[in-house]
Order: sequence, then C-alpha cells, then structure tokens
Amino acid sequence: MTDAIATRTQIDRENPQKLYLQLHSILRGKMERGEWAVDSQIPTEEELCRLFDVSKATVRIAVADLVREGYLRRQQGKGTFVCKRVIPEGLSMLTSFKEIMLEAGVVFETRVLAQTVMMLTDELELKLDVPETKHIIYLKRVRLVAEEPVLLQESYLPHAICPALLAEELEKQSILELLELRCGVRVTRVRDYIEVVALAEEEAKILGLATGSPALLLEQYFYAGDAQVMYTRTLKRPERFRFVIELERK
Amino acid sequence: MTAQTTVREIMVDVFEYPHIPYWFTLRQAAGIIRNTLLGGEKHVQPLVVLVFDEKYNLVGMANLREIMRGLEPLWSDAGSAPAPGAAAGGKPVSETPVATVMRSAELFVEPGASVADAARLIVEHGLELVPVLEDRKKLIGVVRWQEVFQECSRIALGG
Repeated sequence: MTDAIATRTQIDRENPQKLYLQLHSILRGKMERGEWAVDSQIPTEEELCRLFDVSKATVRIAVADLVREGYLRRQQGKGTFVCKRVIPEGLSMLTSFKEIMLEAGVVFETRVLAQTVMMLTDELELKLDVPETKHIIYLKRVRLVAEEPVLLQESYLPHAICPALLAEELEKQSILELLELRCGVRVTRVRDYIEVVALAEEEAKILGLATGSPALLLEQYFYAGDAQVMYTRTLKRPERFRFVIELERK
Repeated sequence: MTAQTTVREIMVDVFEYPHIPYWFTLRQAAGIIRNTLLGGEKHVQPLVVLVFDEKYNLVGMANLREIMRGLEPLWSDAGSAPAPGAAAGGKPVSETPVATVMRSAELFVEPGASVADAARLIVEHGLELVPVLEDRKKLIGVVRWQEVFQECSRIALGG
C-alpha cells in the first residue's frame, strides 16, 4: 500500500528541497509508519548527523519543528521521545478550527481553493434552508498540518448575509469570526452530523488518499436565532483527529 | 443622454443574473435557469447566466441556446436515442461542465466606455449582455441589449 504521507527515507542531495525539510519528512515517516514506536527514544543529535550525513544545524531545525508540531517531546536530561500525536477537537460550537488548533499548539496552514458565488441548486436547498435566497457564497478550503492535508471544508451561505466575505483573506481568518466582525452576524446555534463516508475521487485526491478511503464527514448547520445562516461540509482524514465530548450535570 | 453616455450610466447590477461556477453541469445550469431566469412571472431578460471561476472572476456567459445545444443528444431524436445520456467517453451528456458550451468572456467594456462601444459588441458579436470590467478584471455591472437599444434608437431617430 502506498503511503501518501511521508515516503522519503533517504536524504536526496539532488533534490532542490532544503535538507532540514527532507530530514523532517524522513523522521516523520518513521513515526507515522511506527518504525519509531510511541514513547521510544529517538537517536541523539550526533547519531542522526551520522545516520543521514547532515550537519548538526540541519538536525536541530528538523527536530525542533517536530517537537513544536507535537510529534516529539524533549525530556530534560534524558533525551527526545516519540509522542502519541492526536489533535483533540472539542465539539464546542463557538470554537472554530483555528481556535482549536491554536489551543493544541499545532501549527497549521490554510489554502483557499474557491471563494466565489453560485446559485442554490436542488441538492443544496436540502441543506441550506434560506427562502428568498438565490445567490450563495461558496468557500472551499484545505487545512494542512505539517504540509499534509488534514481536512477539506466547503462552506455555503447566502451572499446577502455577508458579501464582504468575498473580499476577505480566508487563509488566516475564521468564517465565524468574519461573519460577526464584518457583517454583525452572530451564530448562536449549530447542529452537527458526523458520519464515516467513502471519499469520492476529487475529494480523495485533495486529501492525498485513495478513492473510496474512509473519512469523517462533518455536516454543520449554523443558525443566528431561528434563521439558518450557513451550511458547511467538512471531510477529515480519520487518523489525525479524535473528538472529545464532555457532559456535565448541572 | 447623448452618444457619449457611458456604460456605467446604463449598466445593471450583476446580481440580477444567476452566477454559476464553470464546473457546474448542464443539468445544474438548466435547473438554475428554470428556477431563476424562467421562474418568476416575468422572465428576466436577456436569458443569460454568468459563469465564474474559483476566484470569482467572470470566465464566460451561457444563454438558453448554448445550454440547449449542449443537451441536444438528449432531446433530439428522443425516440431513437440508444442509451439516454451516453456520450463519447462514457460520461452522460447532462454531466458535461457548462464551461464546454459557454461563450468565453473575452468581450467586455470598461466603465468609461460609451454606449456606442457596447452597441458595437452587440451588433458585431451577437452578444445580449456585455460585462463591464473595471481595470480589465473586476466585474462591476452588465450592460443589457435592451438599454443599449433604447439609447441607440434614440440617438439614431432623434428624441
């Protein structure tokens, strides 16, 4: 089975990609494949220099990034160890992906694949209950962690609710924040549906998985008061997320 | 108004017309046309949809004739059609992207252009709707042939 994630196992000096990035990829691959077991100690800096024939600086940068990304942890006086890496996600409505990621200390990147306008189709009408609306803003974004796509999100909302969204830079801002700050739309309720689906060809390609691979589908219906304001459809790579649900008796 | 009336003065809001992405299929486009352009009591004129890319740039326009031409294998010779919707390559004709039948948006006017400039595009290229692009990029309105006709006939025939 081809691993779409980190397949590099050797430093390739012919490759224009920077050495520390190559090393980062190699070490990550070892952890993702389980070659370096969770909680095991990784080789020392000197050993890594020798194994891959790179400078100490290169090793230091690659390891520092992996520590920052949550793959490795340093134990004072003992060494560096492999972490069990999950990205906890609360189902709290008011927490957008950006906030969750920052809480967990995970650095992520967003790419906007579409930021345009379309019309309400028959299929979409089932998801977005917005009478008197025709023009819909359509946003499509991919979130990447350590340069790998982890989720694909499509958002649909009536254009009239927030035309300003078409002009905003969506790489760094959350839609919920923008809705409130730019257009005074305050989401007060969200209904989430979660299921496992088999990825269609195009979606699979974006997530770096084979067509038909399982993924988590999260459908969210956002409301401001009684009126629905947005529908989002999010596909997540299953192995990178764990949901946390906490209930409290009052 | 004179022959020097600019298009900015007669253009209409782009949201009078449906917006669809270039990857929408003929089936989706036809559905949208039926619901929007043909949906009300009074039909919107002209019967044209605006086609955009992922970044909300106008890439083309499609009218009813163009959509119908795309769907022809399905409605023409309906009785003798072999497998309905089968096209070369195995993909049903109804699933063809609207990008393949649309008229590409190479023809446009700038906001300061005169009505006569728009009229020329309409007469020479058979356009019904002319996009108004600011800085050759941003779509700020559309000029309809009915308003152009009003102006031109007024100039031509006086009063």
